[in-house]
Amino acid sequence: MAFVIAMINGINLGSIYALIALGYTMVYGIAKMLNFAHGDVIMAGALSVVVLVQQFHVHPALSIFISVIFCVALGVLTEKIAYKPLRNSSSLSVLITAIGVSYLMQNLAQILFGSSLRSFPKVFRWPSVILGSVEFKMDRVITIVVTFILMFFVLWFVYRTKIGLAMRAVAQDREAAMLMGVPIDRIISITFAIGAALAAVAGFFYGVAYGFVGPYSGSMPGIKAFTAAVFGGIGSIPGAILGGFLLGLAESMVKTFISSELSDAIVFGLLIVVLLIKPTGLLGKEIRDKV
Amino acid sequence: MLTVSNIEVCYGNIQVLHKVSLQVKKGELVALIGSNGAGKSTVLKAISGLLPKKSGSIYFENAELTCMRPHEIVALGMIMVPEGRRIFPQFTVAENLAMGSYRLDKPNETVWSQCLSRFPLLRERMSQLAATLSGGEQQMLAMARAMLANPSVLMLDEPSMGLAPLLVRLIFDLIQHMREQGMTLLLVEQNAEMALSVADRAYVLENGRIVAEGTGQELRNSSVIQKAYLGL
Repeated sequence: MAFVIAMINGINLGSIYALIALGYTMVYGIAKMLNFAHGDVIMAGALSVVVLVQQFHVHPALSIFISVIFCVALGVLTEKIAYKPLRNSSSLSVLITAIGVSYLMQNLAQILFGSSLRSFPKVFRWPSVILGSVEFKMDRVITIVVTFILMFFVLWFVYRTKIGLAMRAVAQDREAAMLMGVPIDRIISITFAIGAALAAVAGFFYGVAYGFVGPYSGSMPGIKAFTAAVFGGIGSIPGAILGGFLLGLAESMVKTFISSELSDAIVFGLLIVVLLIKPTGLLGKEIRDKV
Repeated sequence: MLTVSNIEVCYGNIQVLHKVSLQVKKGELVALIGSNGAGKSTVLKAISGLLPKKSGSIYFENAELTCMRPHEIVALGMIMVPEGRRIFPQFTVAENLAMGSYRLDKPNETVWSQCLSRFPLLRERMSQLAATLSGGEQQMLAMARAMLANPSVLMLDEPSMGLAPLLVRLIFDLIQHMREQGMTLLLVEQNAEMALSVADRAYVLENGRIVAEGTGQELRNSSVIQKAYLGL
């Protein structure tokens, strides 16, 4: 009984991590950078829903679409303004820029909306479904269904469309892809757009699950999703999904059966062990240089 | 058809090309030869838009492509096979070939079937990962991929590098065949003797400057050039 509930919570949390991790892993694979501001896009998405619903009285279902559009614009603009000029610089400069962008977003949010946590609107008011002795909360069910649909969409897009083919080509050899006629700037923009859209949706469900959002709410899920991406093998799309779910499940299980205070320490400890055994992550490919 | 005038290219503060000019007419096979580090690959990278030009201009028919980006140059039908093949290792042979026709709205059926009949080996290995092919097979794949782009100008950077003599012969037969089909080719080679034997005209590059030009026959017979640059 407790196990089933922990499972459901774990899958719920894991599906949110997986959505965020997809953004990390795709941007890493294609633009070859760690976008540490990705977590703050989650915050921007969740806060924009709060503001739209509470201050402008927008219907919650509509607010999610506006929030997705807002985050896509934010993600694409960040790339154009902050990262694109550094495309040929060292990866360290880009990394530091990303950290700077992250603090900029947090501080902007603080100036605009204050530093206190705001309560997230109650979006799903439907009653829970009870099967046997287990209660399925509707918001959990909807989170899992929607994130699964989005993950299948991403997999379809990356593995079945021409743009997806170009994305995977850029990930392997940017210059060779350019020589085949791939418009690299557009592909990178599309990647950032997809990542930001997924982050917006993740932010929405994160708000639904936790009930509160503030300017710094993005950093913890961001760090965890980044860890999930590394765990699954950064650069690998199935790896990000797998890593997200495993991290969410582990966190939920540890919280339920061991200790809720120590859950992060135990989960991250487990990750260290996994990375010691398999440094490239679960589904990561070893990069071999071929002469 | 392709006119390069006085281009200069720098890597940081070091100037590697000094007023390089060359011309390729329609249907011609032009070779660019020279020793290691002469700047041959840099010329091709500059033409295909991978490197910015400090000065000079490049025209393709009536379009100026000096400041165009690589994908815009590809869209004009100028395709380059880079040095070291640069196939996509984690793609299957089929996916690599699909990247070849990326610039076209849909693959050109006749080019596709011609290509497969020319490279029967690739047809057998369609679903195999490109990384598992041998060096020679990878070069075939790189050539096939470029041909599927249906280019009007094909630029080849060291197509014979690292290949066994038999495969070098095969690659050069292919190059000659493409020339006979009327394709315009710009060939960069270290293997000067092979290059001059197939080329209509050739330019000799040394330290980033064009130091000689002429028909393949003329350059092969010039004793100065033989000694200094070709090592024949």
